[in-house]
Amino acid sequence: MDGDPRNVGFFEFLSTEERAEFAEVSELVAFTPGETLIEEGSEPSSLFVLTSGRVEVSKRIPRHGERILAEIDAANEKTVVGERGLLDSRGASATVRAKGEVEAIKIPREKFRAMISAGSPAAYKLATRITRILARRLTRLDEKVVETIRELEYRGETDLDVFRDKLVTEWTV
Amino acid sequence: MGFFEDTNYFFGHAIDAMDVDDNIEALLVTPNRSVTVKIPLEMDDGTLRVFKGYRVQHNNARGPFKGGLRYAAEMDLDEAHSLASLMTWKTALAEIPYGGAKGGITVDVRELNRRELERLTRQFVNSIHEFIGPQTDIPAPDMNTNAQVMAWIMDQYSTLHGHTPAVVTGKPVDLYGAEGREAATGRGVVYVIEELLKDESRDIEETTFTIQGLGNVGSFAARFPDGLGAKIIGVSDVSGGVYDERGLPVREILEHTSSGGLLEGYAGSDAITNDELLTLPTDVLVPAAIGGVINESNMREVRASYVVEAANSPVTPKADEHLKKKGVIVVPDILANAGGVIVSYHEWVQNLQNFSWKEERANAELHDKITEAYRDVRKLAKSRNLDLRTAAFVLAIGRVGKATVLRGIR
Repeated sequence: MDGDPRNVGFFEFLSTEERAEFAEVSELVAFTPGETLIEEGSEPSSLFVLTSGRVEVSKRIPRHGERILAEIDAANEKTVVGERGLLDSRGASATVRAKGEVEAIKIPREKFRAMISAGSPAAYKLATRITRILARRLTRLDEKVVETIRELEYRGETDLDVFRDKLVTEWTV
Repeated sequence: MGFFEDTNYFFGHAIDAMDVDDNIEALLVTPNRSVTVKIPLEMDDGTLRVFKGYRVQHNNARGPFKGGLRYAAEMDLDEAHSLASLMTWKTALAEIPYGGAKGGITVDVRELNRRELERLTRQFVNSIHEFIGPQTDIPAPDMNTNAQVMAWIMDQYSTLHGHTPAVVTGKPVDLYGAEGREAATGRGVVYVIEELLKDESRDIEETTFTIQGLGNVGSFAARFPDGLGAKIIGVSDVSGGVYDERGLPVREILEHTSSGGLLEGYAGSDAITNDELLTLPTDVLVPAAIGGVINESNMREVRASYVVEAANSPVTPKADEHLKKKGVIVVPDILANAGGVIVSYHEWVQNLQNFSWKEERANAELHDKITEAYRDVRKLAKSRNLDLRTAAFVLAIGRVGKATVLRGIR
């Protein structure tokens, strides 16, 4: 797979000149299986546009170890990871790990911030694209939250269970 | 408000205090089974009469159904239902392994002679024998039924199912009955009073008592405090009462009444009416006669610090509210008069084991059970700032509730 933004589908929304601008600042990176692209809690990350391979997104849950949130396959979707780090100044919210051999185009955070400061239309176009990705993820998250709440309401919360909990917690002599 | 509404009122009050969901309330209130049967009876004069019999089995989450059979003209399914649910809470509160039931026959017993009453009882057993049994539902005496009626029930059931004394309790002492059952309710009342006075740091010898009713419960309740050196200043029966602020000669009075005499004809002390009796300046008032005697019309005149409900529902809900506000401690009927059903349980246990206890053991077991129930109620009342009645219902509902959820819904 070509690591040049000029030839990567994700950057289709940019003009040839703008893609060349990103080609200047980006670098092709490769990860071996199990290697970490982004570490939860570390410095705000750079943006990775996945060009091949699969990654696993996971998050630490207090007292419950690590929970896998998603698996992303570059073959199925033109996708990015670390997009929040690019716009936000807080540390990474999840860990992204290579599931196999992974190749990606890395746009370092500081270089992207410099382009924004310089008023680069290409950088603003990318920011808009990332915003759209975030908006879609937020919508999916909302749906997931609603589904989880409903599941919790059904699971272990029958009338009888509520009554039993009341007797045991409130009304035991 | 009648007796049944009163019971439902107090139950509802506890359910509200617990903030229980409507569906759960329905689960606890609805009886498991109600049976209505036809009892045709040929009278001695050859006429045919048809009676209706009932058995309501309210709840058996904690054990076999248990409750009395009453023969009364006003008996019906609604009454049986209310009384059956009360038995569920009473057995749960006493922590004996039973549920609740009640039944009986709509009949004015004065219209029947002894032979007719026996045939009626046996016919009734023929109709309900499939629904009762020593591990299913165990009847007991109630209004207008006695040890003899229980003996007929045991005999009739045994002809159908083989020798089964444990199918019914309250039998004659000479036929698998328990020694001391007659006195049990009154004795239980006294045990509860002793605990109450301990809690209140009162010396029983310095405490004055007034007892309304010298029947099965009242006469025994009057006998025991007297033996403990208490001062009983007022007693009454249906005909009226007597009063002496220095203390009545209870033994003498009981001798007079137990030989069939009415208090009206007793000349030893000042005569008073039943209404006056309830408002005497006494420490402990024990209504041991009928329901509803302390009500809206006389609740403001009650001068007792403690009211111990030996009878069923002697204090109406309105009067209960008033006494509560005034700071009077009311020991509720489901706790105070539980001695009867506790000794019924002991009779059943002895029948199942083909064994009989000595009187000391019987009394000791009754003492343990009823004082433990009192302690539990008092503890809950204190920790949750509830009156004793609400605490008693909450405790009972909690026990039935736990058994219900542990068993699950089949």
